[in-house]
Parts: sequence; C-alpha cells; structure tokens
Amino acid sequence: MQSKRLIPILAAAVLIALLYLGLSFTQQHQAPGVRIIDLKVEKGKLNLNPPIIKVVQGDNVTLQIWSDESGEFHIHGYDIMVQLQSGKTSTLTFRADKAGTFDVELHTSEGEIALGSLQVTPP
Amino acid sequence: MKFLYLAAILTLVLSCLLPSVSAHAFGSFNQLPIPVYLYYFGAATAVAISFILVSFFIKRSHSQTEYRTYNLLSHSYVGKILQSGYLAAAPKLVSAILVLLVVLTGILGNQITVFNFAPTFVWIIWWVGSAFGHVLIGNLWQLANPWKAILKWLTADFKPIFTYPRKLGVFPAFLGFFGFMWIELIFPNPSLPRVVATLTVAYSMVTWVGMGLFGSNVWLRYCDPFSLFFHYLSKLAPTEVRVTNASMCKSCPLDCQNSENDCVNCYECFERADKHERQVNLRPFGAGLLRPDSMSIDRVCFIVLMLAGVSFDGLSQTLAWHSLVGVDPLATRTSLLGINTIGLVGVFAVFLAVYLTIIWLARIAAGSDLSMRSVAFRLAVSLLPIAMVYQLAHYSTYLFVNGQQIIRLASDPFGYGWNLFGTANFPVSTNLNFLVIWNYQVSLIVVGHVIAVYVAHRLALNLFPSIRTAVRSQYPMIMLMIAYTSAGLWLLSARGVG
Repeated sequence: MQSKRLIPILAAAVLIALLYLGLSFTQQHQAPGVRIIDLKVEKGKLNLNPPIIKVVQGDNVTLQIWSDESGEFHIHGYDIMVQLQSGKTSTLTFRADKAGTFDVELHTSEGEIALGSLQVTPP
Repeated sequence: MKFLYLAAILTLVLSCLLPSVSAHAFGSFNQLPIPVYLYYFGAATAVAISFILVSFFIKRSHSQTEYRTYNLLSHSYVGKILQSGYLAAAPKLVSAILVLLVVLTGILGNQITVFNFAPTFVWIIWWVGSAFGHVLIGNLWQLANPWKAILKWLTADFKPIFTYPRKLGVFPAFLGFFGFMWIELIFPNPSLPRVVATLTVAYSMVTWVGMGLFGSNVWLRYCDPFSLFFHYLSKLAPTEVRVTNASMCKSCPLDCQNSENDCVNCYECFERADKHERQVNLRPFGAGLLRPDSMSIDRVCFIVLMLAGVSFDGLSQTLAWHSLVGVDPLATRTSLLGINTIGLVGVFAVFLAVYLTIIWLARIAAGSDLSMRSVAFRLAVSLLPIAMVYQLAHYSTYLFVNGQQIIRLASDPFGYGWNLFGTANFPVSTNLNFLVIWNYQVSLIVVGHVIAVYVAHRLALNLFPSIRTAVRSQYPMIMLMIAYTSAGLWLLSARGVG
C-alpha cells in the first residue's frame, strides 16, 4: 500500500523538478552592462509606452532626459534626482543595484506628476 | 455623536478632493512581474498535481469529514495557561490600546503616510499581516477583538434591543466587506492618516451601535465583515475551539448548525459551555475546511468576494486592464473612481457566474439529482484556499518590505521625531532578492491549488452517494481551480507600472 502511493509521488516530484529546470533554461539571462537611455518628457508624459524604463540589475544606467518643462526628475526607492530645464537635456547616471519597480516622478512648481516607473529585473 | 459623523463625512469628502498617484491603498509597493517561465511552471505543476491527486489518492474512506485532533486543554501546563483569565484579557487589552493609538496618531500625528503609525499598522500589519496569522495560527480576531471586550467592560450585562432579522443572513457583513474592499482598492486616499483614523472611529461607532441593537455575538456573526472574513481564513488554520456537547449547538441562539456530535469554532457555544465540554484543539492544516458550516447564498457571495477583491486589485495593476478600459496607466485613483467601481463589481459578478455555472456542470457531470443549492453551498469553502494564497502572494512584498516600517514607527508613532525604543532610524531593507520572492509566490499559489482540489474532492465524496458520481462531479471543479490558478499566476506575471 505504501509503495503504491510512493511511486506516483516520486514520479511527480521528478517530473516537476525536470520541468522547473527545463523551463528555467528558457529564461533569457541578460548580462548587466552599460545602458544609455534617451528620454523625453513632453506635456508631463514620458515618451515610452508603457511608461516603464526597463534595465537589468547591475547596469550602469545613464538617462539622458530632454524636457519641455523645468522641474526635478526623481526616482523613488533609489532616491536620486536631477534638475531638468525646459528645452534642455539633463543627464542622470546611477548603478541599478536594487531590483524592483520604482516610481518615477517630476516635481514641478505646480506639483508632482507621475511619469512612470523604473523596472530593474535580476540578470 | 452627530459631530463625529459630521467630521467623518467632511474628512471623506475633503480627502476625495486631494490628488493621489498611488495605485494601491498604501502607495505603490516594490514588486516585479514573475517571469514567463515561472508562470508556465506554476500552471503546469498545478495541472499535474491535480490529476495525480485525483487518480491515486481519492478513496471511499475520504467521504469521512472527521480528522484527528489533540486537545491542548487536556495537557496539564498548556491547559492551565490557556484557561488563565489573564491570558484571555491580555490580547484584548493590547488591541484596545492599539485602536486608541491608531485614532490618536491618525488625527494628531504627522499627515505624511510613512511617518504615521496609523496607515502602516492598519493596512499592512492588521489587514495583510493578520491574514497570515489567521491562516497559520487560528482565529486571533476572536481572541483580540477590542470592540466586544470594551463594550463588555463598560456595560456588564445588557440586553439587545431588537432580535436580528435572520432572513438577512450575513448580507450586512457582505455589504460591509464590499465597502471595505472599495475603500482599500478604489477610494482615492485610504492611507491618509486622518482618513484611517476617521474610518476606525466610524467602524467603532457602527460596531457598538450594532452590538447594542442586536447583541455582540449576533452582530459579529452576521453583520461584522471582519469577523466573517477571519472566520473563513481560520478554517484553514491548525487550531480550533470545540464544544463536545451537541445539545449545546441545538440551542445555540446563532443556529451554528455545526454537526451531529459537536460544534467547532462557534464562540457563542464555547462561551456558554461547561469547562469540561470545551476543547482547544490542534488539527491538521486545512482540515477545518471539511467540516460542515452553515452556508447560504449570501455566504457564498462573501467567499466569492474574497476572491474577487484581491483579483481585481491584481487586475487593475496590469497594462492589459488599462488598455481594455482605455485609461492611462498613470491615471490617479480619483479619476478612476467610476471605472474601478464597475470593474470590482464586474469581477465579482463574473466570478459568481462562473462558480454557479461550474456547479451546474458538476451536477450534470455527476448525473446527480442533488439540488443546485446543496452542491453550491457545500463546495464553496473549497474556493477559500485559492483566495487565501493569492492574497498572501499578491501582498508578499507589501508585507515584508513596507511592513518593516512598523519597527521604525513604533518609536515615533506620531511622526514628531521621537525615538521611544531606539528604533526610529531602523534601516528598512529595500534590496530584495526577487528570485526568492517569485518562487515563494508561485509555490504558494500551487500549494493553495492542491489544497483546494483535495478539499473539493473530499467534500464531493461526502456529498454525492457514490465515489463514481463524486469523481465525475470534480472534473468541472478541477477546471475551475486550474482556471483560477492560471489567472492568479497570470496576474502576478502581468503587473504593469506598479
């Protein structure tokens, strides 16, 4: 009786383990490196659709941000910011060492505008 | 009294006018969509285990719904500790102090959410965190409910003014739960400290008035959304309270209708029972789901809403949802009030319709002449593990990351810059290993699926006359479980801007 139940359990465990291994190999691993991203902020919107800045954990990221509005470009969680000037390109450089999704906002004299998010995935 | 209501309404109206960018009750929380391979793995594993379980592990003897228990009261030391009056009073006292602290900090404290004790305590520690406690330990809400205890201390022996109209069933609790979900998921500023305090005061007033009108236990059983919610969560838990005298149950004013021989988790009966008839039992995890429990269409709706609420929260964060309803993913909650309300009601209606359709199919598949009601009522609790694990998976980073704030806030609950216990500068760790989190989320969902399939099978064996009809009735049920599980995994893999 015991062995009758043991066999399907073992078979299932082996199958599931193989499935996990097999599927995890299909995952494309991206090596971290240098990533330069051009961004545009127009009328309070980021020129990305969906508005997600995607990078890999460990990347050395440089954001080159052109804006039609002056204000403070701020990434929550990383708590880094750069001052944007209307009609000019500003640069924000950082190492994406924390994985996760982080809010990106523009703080202007009129208030906060949600621009989108920074998504840092593990390599 | 009038002033309080006025203040409550004013605060609610005012907070509606404030802008809000948060996608959730507590602002956005750090999360990453699970990768596609884990999504497929979870779904495939759920399917595989369902079939293995059904093919090899379902026996006639499983139609029994009894399970082994160990009575902690029979142990000399543990029993003494559990029956001590101090132990019963301590959690009630602590929670009464916490409620007071929430109201005081919410009204008087710093109004920036993360610097105030009230929002983090209510939304993360109590609402999300205690869900874990109820599943893993037992019905803590019954031990700690401060409202019932305070009323008892203030008015030693009062008679309820009205008899509760039984026809309403738990419909008031359902409405209350819907209102609560709406505030959590749709209302623009649920995490503003003042709003949290106002809601707490409003809830306290309603609860005390209700208890005064109908009696504490009646109110908690039929009208209090949290008591019912935590009652369902603790059905999975490895502890229970039991009264071994069946006649007790038959005379229960709350018609607990528990079983022929004894009654489980009816705190009304437990309070009235003689000392030697009481048990506080350890039981196998999840076994409580097998016990018959009073069921009615309003209770089925409540369980479906538990599943629908958290699913809608996940859905409303996906880009697919944003493009489906044609809204900007960064739109504020204020601008989404209408569409989100329709969305929440819609998800609930779809889930209820799907469940009832599956039950109808299960009856056809089994060729059974049992009524639709009896099947729908008996199998409803098998949805609980799925609702549970999705809740725990969905809010995992929310609890583990944002929840750390409570250590900091304990030292400075008002946000005035105090440092009572020296933890005010506790560094909240935000550097997460998502590989661990993802695997944790997927495992939880698969485990919940397996429990759900297993429980539904055993309930079917108990309900249908033969093993053949029972197993057949389960084909549509398994399809439903697989659909829910895949939907849950998909939601975890499709998260958008945060």
